[in-house]
Amino acid sequence: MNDRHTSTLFRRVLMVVGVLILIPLVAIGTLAIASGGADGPSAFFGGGPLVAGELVTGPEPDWSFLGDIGTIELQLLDPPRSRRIWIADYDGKIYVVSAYMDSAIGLLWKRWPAQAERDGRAVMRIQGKRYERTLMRITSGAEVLEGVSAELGRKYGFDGPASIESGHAWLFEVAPRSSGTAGGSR
Amino acid sequence: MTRSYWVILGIVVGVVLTVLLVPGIGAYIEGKLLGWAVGWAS
Repeated sequence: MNDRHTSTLFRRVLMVVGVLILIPLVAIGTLAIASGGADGPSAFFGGGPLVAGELVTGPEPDWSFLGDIGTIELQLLDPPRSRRIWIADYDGKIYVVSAYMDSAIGLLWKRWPAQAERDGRAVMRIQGKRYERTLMRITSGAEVLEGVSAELGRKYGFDGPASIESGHAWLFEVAPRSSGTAGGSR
Repeated sequence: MTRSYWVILGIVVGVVLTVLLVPGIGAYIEGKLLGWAVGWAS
């Protein structure tokens, strides 16, 4: 009789604990699934293809206004998923960066850099305007690494060029699609 | 199904509908997650 009472109590405690774990998991899962099909990413979760917004073509804009922009929306064509990402302009060109690339958690959390290295075709949306681009990984070039790192450091407290050279952070130039590049690195 | 399964199913449906339909809940959860992620990363 006493054993049966203890067993029932134990099962109830287990169920309460299970429900307390289940509620946040279901909430987070719901948000992640709902964000997946949205036009662009939310604050935390990635989103679907960038659909809304004027598609800008023609000559390269003056990117200096990016110095005041915190994050942009970036979508790869394959797979067609979007996320928010840091951006820096340097010497008339623009760059995006992904850190924690030398850790297991980073590689699991951030799959887009490897996907972009395979196929760099991308669309970015800044202030409601879309731009067709190609991502090209940058691993060398002291002047570029120094300049971009300094701008990233000013905006986000980024470490420095050593973290790019060591592979901790992956840096991509976001080049115009018409430049003939299709992903890869240099 | 036993009563327990119905309770769990009800909670799951309730949480899903709350997250999807109540304004501000999604933003609140994302804010918490973002704060946690930033704290972990720094």
